[in-house]
Amino acid sequence: MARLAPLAEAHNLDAILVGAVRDGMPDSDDTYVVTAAAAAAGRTRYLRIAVAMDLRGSASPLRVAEDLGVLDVMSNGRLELVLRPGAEPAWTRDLEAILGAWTGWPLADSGTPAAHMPEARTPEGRTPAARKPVTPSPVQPEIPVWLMTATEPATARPQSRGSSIVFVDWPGTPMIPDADALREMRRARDDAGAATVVVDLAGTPPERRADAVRVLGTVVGPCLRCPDDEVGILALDATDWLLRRTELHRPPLEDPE
Amino acid sequence: MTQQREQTTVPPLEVGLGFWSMQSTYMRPIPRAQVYREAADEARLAERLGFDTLWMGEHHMSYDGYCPSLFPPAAGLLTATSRLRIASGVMVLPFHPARRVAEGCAALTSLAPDRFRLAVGIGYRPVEFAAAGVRLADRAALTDDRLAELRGPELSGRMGPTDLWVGTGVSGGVARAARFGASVLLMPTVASRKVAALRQQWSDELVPVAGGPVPRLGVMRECWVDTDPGMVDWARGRLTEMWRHYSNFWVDDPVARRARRDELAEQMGRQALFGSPDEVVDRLGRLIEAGSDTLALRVRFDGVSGGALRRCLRLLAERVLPQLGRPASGVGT
Repeated sequence: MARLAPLAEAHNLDAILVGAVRDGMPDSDDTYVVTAAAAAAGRTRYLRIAVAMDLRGSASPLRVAEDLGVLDVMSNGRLELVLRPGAEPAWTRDLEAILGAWTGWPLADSGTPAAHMPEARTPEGRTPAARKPVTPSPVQPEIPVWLMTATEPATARPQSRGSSIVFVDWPGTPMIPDADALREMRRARDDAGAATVVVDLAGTPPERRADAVRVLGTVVGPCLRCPDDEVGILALDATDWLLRRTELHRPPLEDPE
Repeated sequence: MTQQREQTTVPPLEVGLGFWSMQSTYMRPIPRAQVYREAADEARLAERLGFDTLWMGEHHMSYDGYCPSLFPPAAGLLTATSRLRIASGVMVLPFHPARRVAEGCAALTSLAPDRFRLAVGIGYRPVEFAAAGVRLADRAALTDDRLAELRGPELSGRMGPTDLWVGTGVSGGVARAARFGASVLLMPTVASRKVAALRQQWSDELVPVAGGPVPRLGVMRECWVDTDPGMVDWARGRLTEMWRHYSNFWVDDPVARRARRDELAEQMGRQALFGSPDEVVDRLGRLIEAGSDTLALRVRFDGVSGGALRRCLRLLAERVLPQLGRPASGVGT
């Protein structure tokens, strides 16, 4: 993660998603994921840092809120959440509690405001339910949240605003997708009504992931961003550029200025 | 017992710096993201100057953003450096289920094998317990249960050979560390004259644990070194102000009991090691003679950063460490 994230940033990818979008994957506990994502945040400045979580790992909702606050501050407001929702009502309540934690978290009895805090009493003299904000609060006014949906291909819909995400597997072979494969990715995106394509590298052997990131940045990214009628020529030229290791890849002097 | 004592033969002196608690306080209100950027820069400097360890700190629901969540910033600091050990100092174990701790440690081990130190404590601030829904009265038992889980077969494999420490200021905490084969970090409230006795207790009671690093006993102290007395006075003033505010964590009614808070701040300030390089060497020497093999020097107290901190760190590295038998840089590799 610490190696791939700066590479992704240098290749003009928009975001890195850390964690698992399917249940049962190894190293997908929320605490593990947030910790690994922090390594990516620490090595980058612009890349959006998305974490895939299920809120049912080893951390309580309060600890999740604290983890997210710290990660958003560490990354200077680059955090995004992709959640695998639970079916039970408690899951939704937990999500609401987490996203509201920075304005107030309920305290148990032992934290009830003491008598010497007059501001903690209502005009009628009652002590209201004590709440205290979780800190640090995120840098962003609102952390973007997506919820995974059970579709094929997998998608995630925005919780409040934004466009959907579609997840596509990285074929791996051939290493560089051709124009047809790139058009297929665009079609998957458009069919899902999504604005964002997340390419899943989980099945790619670790030693090939850096190359995959280079391909994503040089060929796939441009071909997903360009108009329809340019995909063919852009795929051809970008692939040629990536493969053709010519003297044009580096200036004759490292710093011509 | 003889065998246990042999296993606690005093290891080479380790010198670390503390406490990066990621605060933006009223004494130095800076953008929160800058706090974390500065921490990474300062970790790199500490590594270049030859310090062994950077200690962090945990509190919850503090206005200044005091770091409540140590695993993410530990990951950031580990990736910003290549040799420096990063220590949680201390993680409040009653607030974190053992499995969460194991998962965080597993992620950090994957990023930087053998460079994360897990130091835990039992916590004390009522509001933090109230938020977590944990009874203050249960904190010792919860800590014991979780340490047992972390040392147990189910989680120890996930964590790997863990550099486990217990932060404490009392004999009961030292006994807990010994029981779990953990190292000890004595809080600044422990006077120098008590260090030898606590070391002896820990050494006598220490239960050996297979694998992992040799257990240590360390002492935490506020510390500031400068050749200019004006700088020392300035730093002392900042420290006193920090303790004066921080003491509101320790008293029931911080507004009415301001005089008590001033007393506490002064009391804490007396333990601090402030002065010229020679003066600080002298006082650190006493801690080492008393049996401390690890020094956790708190130079990063509220609001102290930038050029003043860099100057202090350089003087520590160049004028203090060599007199403690440590080369000026590149040590601990």
